[in-house]
Formats: sequence, C-alpha cells, structure tokens
Amino acid sequence: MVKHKVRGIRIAFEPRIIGFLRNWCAYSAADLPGAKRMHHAPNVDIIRVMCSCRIDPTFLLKAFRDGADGVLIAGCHPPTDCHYQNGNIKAMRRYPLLLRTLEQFGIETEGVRLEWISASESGKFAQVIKEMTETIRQLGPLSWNGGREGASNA
Amino acid sequence: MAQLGMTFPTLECSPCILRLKMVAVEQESNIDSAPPGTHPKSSNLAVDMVVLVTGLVPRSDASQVAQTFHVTHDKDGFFLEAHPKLRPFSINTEDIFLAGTCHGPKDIPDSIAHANAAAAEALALLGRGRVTIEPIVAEISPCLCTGCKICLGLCPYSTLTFDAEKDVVEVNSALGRGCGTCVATCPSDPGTASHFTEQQIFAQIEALLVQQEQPLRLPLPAVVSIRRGVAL
Repeated sequence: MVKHKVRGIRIAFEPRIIGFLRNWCAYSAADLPGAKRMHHAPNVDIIRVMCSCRIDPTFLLKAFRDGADGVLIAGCHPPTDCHYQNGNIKAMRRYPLLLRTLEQFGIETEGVRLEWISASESGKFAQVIKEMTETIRQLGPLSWNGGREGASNA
Repeated sequence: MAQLGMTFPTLECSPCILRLKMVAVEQESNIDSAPPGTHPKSSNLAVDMVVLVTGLVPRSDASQVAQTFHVTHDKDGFFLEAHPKLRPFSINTEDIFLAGTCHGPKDIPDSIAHANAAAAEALALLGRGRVTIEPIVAEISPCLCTGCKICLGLCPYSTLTFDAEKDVVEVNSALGRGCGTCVATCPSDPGTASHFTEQQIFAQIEALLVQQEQPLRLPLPAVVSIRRGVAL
C-alpha cells in the first residue's frame, strides 16, 4: 500500500474519487449495489448531473484542485441509450480533449475514467469503482494537491 | 375457422392469426422425419392454416423522420418510447406520440390499442389547455452571450434560436429538457442549467471533499503548495 507523509507521519493513502453520474442511468446503477447488498469500495462520492454532456472540464479541474484523486464520469451506453438523444456521444467526443487538458495541467489521466453504465448494471458500477480505487491507490496522491486553503487564497 | 378466399384479417379468424402461439417444433409429434433425398429440414406438419410472416423492418425514411422530430431510435431503426411500461406511446419530447409499428413490430389489435393510447394522451394534453414544463432548463444571459452560435447545432431539441438583431442566442424554455449540453459547451459561460448550475456543482464538490478532509487536517507547517494550474 502506498503511504504518504504528512508532517513526518506515514499515513495510509485512501483515494478520494468524485463520480459524476448521469441522472437516468448511472445514478440508478449506483443505487442498486446497496439494494442488492453488494460490496463496493466506499471511496467514491457521487454528484448527480442530468446528462454526461453537462460535464464541463472545469468540474474536473475543480475536483482535482480541491483534493480529489480521481474522477469518474458515467453515462449511458452509446449510441442510442441516451435520454437526451445523443448526450453520451457528445461526452465521448469531448473526453479526449478533456484528457489532453488534464495532461497539460500535470494530472495523470489514469485517474479519470469515462464509463458507460446503464441503470441495471450495478455489478459493472461496483467493478469500475473497485478498479479505479485500486489504480489510484497504486498511483498515490495527486502531487499538486494544494488543498482548500490554497484555493481560497488564489 | 378461417376460410380461404376471405380478406384478412377478419373478425372470425383474428384470434387464430393474430394471437400466434409458438410451437416447440422438436416436441411436435405430428412431424414426420424427412423422406430420403429431400431437404433435411423439410417436414410434414398437420395444421389448419399456415400464415407466413416476414420480418418487419422500419420504413426506409424512418431515420429521416427521427432526425426531423428528434426521436431516438433503437439499433433496428424503430422509434424508442420514453418508458417501456409507464409511457409506451410517448417519446421524450412531450408533444410527439408514437402509434403502431413505427415503435416496433405489432399486430393489428396492439397497433390500434397503441394508437388509442397515443390519441388519448394527446387529447389530455389539449384538454388541459396548458403545459407543465420541466423546471430544469438552460438559461442564457443576454449580457454575457457573445453570439458565437456554437450551442445552436448541439441542442437536441432545437431549443435555441439566434436573435440576429441583438446578436445573442435565446432559449425557448418550453422546449428545453435540461440536458445541459449547451451550458457545458459555452466558451463564455453565460448559460446556466437551472438546478445544476456551475456554482451548485462546485459547492457539491467542495462540500464532499472538505467533509473528508477534516479528520486528516493536521497542523501543517508552511508547506509550499505545488499548484501548477491555479488559474482555471
């Protein structure tokens, strides 16, 4: 397990992941593991958006600046599942640009994932969270984690 | 039973031709094994009537109609309903209804029932005299809009119109559905998606991360924070 030092004290690193889940599919999928009593990593915090195409690059940059170690974007399966016709395709097209922007900011793109999870795929949701947590645990905490104090002074 | 020479469908025969029953052929005792020299799959089956049904495909211009009216369609090209059980006759756009085989293969009674439901729903909408719209729609501040028109082509519901006189894009909130694609696209941020504004989502991110940060907040020495990308 990767450990990092805070003032000389080695503490175990638990990744913090922000999940932007689309209201109509992935958000319901996130509900299901609880109902089915499946276990998944507790490291993800969920923010509901109406569609994966609503996700602005600034949301991710804000999350990383405030101390998130990873971000999950989950929408419904392309090409036809979208509640808003083709929002998932727009999200899919924006994603490579987003990754490039993050690279320019010095953020490892392994910490970001775009996944297609329909409302019934609770197992897939749990699996994705588990994989992401493991990946980010290996990567370690984000090096430019300035914390909120720095953000408010900026 | 149905007689040959009648025009189908008839009321007499509708139960037998329209309520098809799948027969498990392997277990049918009436099937004789194929005589030698004939096609291996040929067989003799004692039945009252044979109805040949070809696979139903959507009309050739279905995708064009779907594009015009902004209807989603499945991988076979049939239009998709808003909800398979609760709203099988309406699509996500409130004012367009589906009836019959444009929605998928159906027999005649099902098509009629489907059309009746769609007509009833349309009448209910007319009878009410007013339409309740979703509270979640995008708004565009005319002061901040630069009139770049990037959002125009992206809206799946043709909600946005460009006002050439004022040089700004305007939102028809009766058509908007609140997906927020225009807001995420806008380079100058005059758009806000009601109830999912940038400030609200930022506040959620802050709240989630600060809450978890509390127990870890040790008295840090004057650490120079390495923030390479502050200017967001």
